[in-house]
Parts: sequence; C-alpha cells; structure tokens
Amino acid sequence: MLTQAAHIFEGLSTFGQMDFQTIVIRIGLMLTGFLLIYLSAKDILDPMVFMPMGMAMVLVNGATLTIEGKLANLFVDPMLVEPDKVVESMRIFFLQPIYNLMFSNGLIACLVFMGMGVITPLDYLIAAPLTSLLIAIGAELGSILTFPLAVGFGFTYKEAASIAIVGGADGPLVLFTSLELAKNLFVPISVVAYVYLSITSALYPYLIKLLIPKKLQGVVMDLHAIPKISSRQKLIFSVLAAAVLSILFPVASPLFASFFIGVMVREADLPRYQRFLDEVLLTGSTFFLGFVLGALFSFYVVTDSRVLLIMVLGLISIILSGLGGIASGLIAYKVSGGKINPLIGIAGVSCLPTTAKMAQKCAMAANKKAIILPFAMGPNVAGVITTAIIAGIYVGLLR
Amino acid sequence: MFDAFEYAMGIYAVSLGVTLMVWLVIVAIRWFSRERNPPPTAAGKSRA
Repeated sequence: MLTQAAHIFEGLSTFGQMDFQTIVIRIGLMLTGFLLIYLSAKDILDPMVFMPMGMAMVLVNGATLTIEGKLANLFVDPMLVEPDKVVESMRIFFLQPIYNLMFSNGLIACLVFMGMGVITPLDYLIAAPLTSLLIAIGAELGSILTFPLAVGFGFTYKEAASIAIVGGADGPLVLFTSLELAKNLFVPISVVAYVYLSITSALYPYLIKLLIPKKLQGVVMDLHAIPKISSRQKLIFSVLAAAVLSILFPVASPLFASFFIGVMVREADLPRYQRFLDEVLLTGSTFFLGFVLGALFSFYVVTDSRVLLIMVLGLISIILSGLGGIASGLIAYKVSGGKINPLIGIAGVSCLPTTAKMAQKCAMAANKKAIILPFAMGPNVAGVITTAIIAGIYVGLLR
Repeated sequence: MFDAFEYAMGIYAVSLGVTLMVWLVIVAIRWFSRERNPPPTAAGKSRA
C-alpha cells in the first residue's frame, strides 16, 4: 500500500531518496521561487522575467521523479552533451527543444538584443559621442576589477570573466559570455545577473545620495543643445558600427548583428518589423528567458558550492560599475563647467533603459525642472556598446 | 591575482582603444553628412 502511494505521489516520495542537505536545498529553491513571485507581484523585481522564473523554480523542484534510477524532472536536462541523448531528450523533457535550440547556442541573447535595438534611441550618443562613450567606459569598472578579484577567489580566468561581465549590467551579454566561457556556471551567473539587474533601480539611488551632492543632482541641462540627428545618420551608424565591431570581434558578431539590426529596423522606419521585434520577439524571448532559467535552477543542477561566492562577486561588480559611472559623471560635470548633470554617469551602467530612467527620477526629486533623460540615454546606449566590446575581448582571448 | 589584475588592465586599455574607434566612426558620419548649403550671400551672388 505504502509502495503504491509512493509511486502515485512520486514528488513526495523522492524526498525519501535524498540526504538531508539535498532536501534543504530543494525546499530552499522552492521557497526562493515563491519569494521571486512575491517580489515580482510587488514590482520590486521585474515581473516580466521573475514571475515565470519563480513559477518554474517552484515547479521544477517540486515535480521531481525518477527516470532510469536517477532523480529528474520533465522540464529540461541541461547536462546532456552526447548528440543521440540530446535528440532523444527532446521527446521527454518539454522545454528541451527551447533549451537546445535557443539557450545552448546563445540565440536567446541575440533575440533579446534585437528587441533592445529596436527600442533604443541613438540621438544623444551621436550628438555627444565622446562624452557618452567615455562615461560608459568609466562605468565598466566592475566588468574589469571583478576579474582579478574572482581569480583571487579561485575561479579560472574563463569563469572570472563570466562573473565580471555582470558589472556590465546587460543580461544578454552575461548569457552570451557565460555560455561561451563557463557553461558549468551558466545557470547561477545568469540568475544572479538578472536579480542584480532588477535591483539596480533600488540599489543605485543610495550610491547617488551618498556620493553626489543634491545641488548637483538638480543641474538643468539645455535640451536645445542636442542637435537634430537625422534617421539617415543613425542608420549609417548602425551599419558601420556593426561592420567595424564585427571585423574586430568576430566571436561577438552575432550580438553586434542582432543589436544593430534592431537599431536599423527602428531608423529605417519599418513599422511591421518594429512591432515584430518589439512586441513578438522581445516579449516572447523575455518570457522564455525567465521560464527556462527558472527551470534550470533545480536542486541537482545547482550543486556548485560556489554559488554564494558568485552572488557576492556579482554584487561587487555591479557596485563597482555604479561607482565608476558616478565618478565619470562628476568628471563630466567638472570638465563641462557645470553644464552636464553628473547623474547621467550612472546611466553609463547600461541596464537599458532602467538606469537612465532612474537618473531622471533622481534629478526630478532634486529639481522639478531637471529633464535629463534624453542626455542620459547617450551613456546608456554607449554602455551596451562598451560592454559588448569588453565581452568580445574576454571571449576572444579566453575561449 | 596580480597577473589577473594586469591582464584586466590590458583588456581595459584595448576596450578604451576600440571605444575611441567607435567615436571616430560617429565623428566621420557627422562630418560627411554635415550641412553643405552655401552661405546665403554667395547664393545670392550666383543667382545674380
């Protein structure tokens, strides 16, 4: 009778096949899933990513069963490498086709990048390229300094680069780098990165309050100072930048191609493609990104004891980039003779467009007349480009 | 760890160089697509 019950309620009976530590991790991950759903519902985390992720984490760790004598689930098995088994797995695990065809080759990152390209305005980047790009490169401090720190904590160069790129605050680039360099840490690094990206708007205002005097936060920038940038100029830039960067970093060319084709569609005024890339591709990819990442976070996949260390290093990386952005913003303020609001520095930490919107919110809180969003979008977009450059260098050197 | 720091600084320097190359691309685009209309006085003279 008890054996039959164990067969019927397999999810429960599998607890009996585990040691105490695994049971704690399994229940802990289910509770984390519930927490993600709760924080998404409260709008503290981005519900577009974390609602499906939390749901998948709860289910994948709950719905454990035994397949061929091993604990598994029917969602996805990311550990398979032999071609025969990979093909066979697509008949068993329902998310396996999406994982094999979109995650293991980095396609998901490219699809998200196409969607980001189509919602990205390039005006201030082209109007003030040097300011935007230098602020953005200053805001890459975390992507650089976390690398030696991670090596010091015992990570290999490849793993350290994948963790450091979290400081670039760009989800698709984190996915891309960890898929290329550290597949064994892909799941924890990606989830940690997306959690931190979501909390930047809660974390950075404290750094700003601490480091930028309120008077400087309220500096008004002259909107008429932005020259009119034609769509033709932006279109030419998207094509040339994609070509130059792809020639320099062929390993990262899928990302450059994806981002700039999105920009091209936007500037070429192709409304049907714009709607497709934004409403269909970006929305669909974001949904599956959250859901599949959550499904990958099962207790028998996340066995690496270094997850906690990755969380600490990821946080350090994001904070260092924020500090670098603020320092760059303050330098820009000084160099321009007080014409540039230093808050646009924090927008250099990519995370498009969250940090730019957050900079605007802080500016408005200090001075209701301070409109800085169009200016902040320059370093914000430049941040995507500089992070892609650094990711391209890491992948090119280390893969 | 110090080797890794030097390595990272090298990467930072290369990324700065490439970033400046992107800046040059933008400057070139803006230079080539700048307004090339002749000044109004000269245009007046040529019509006359």
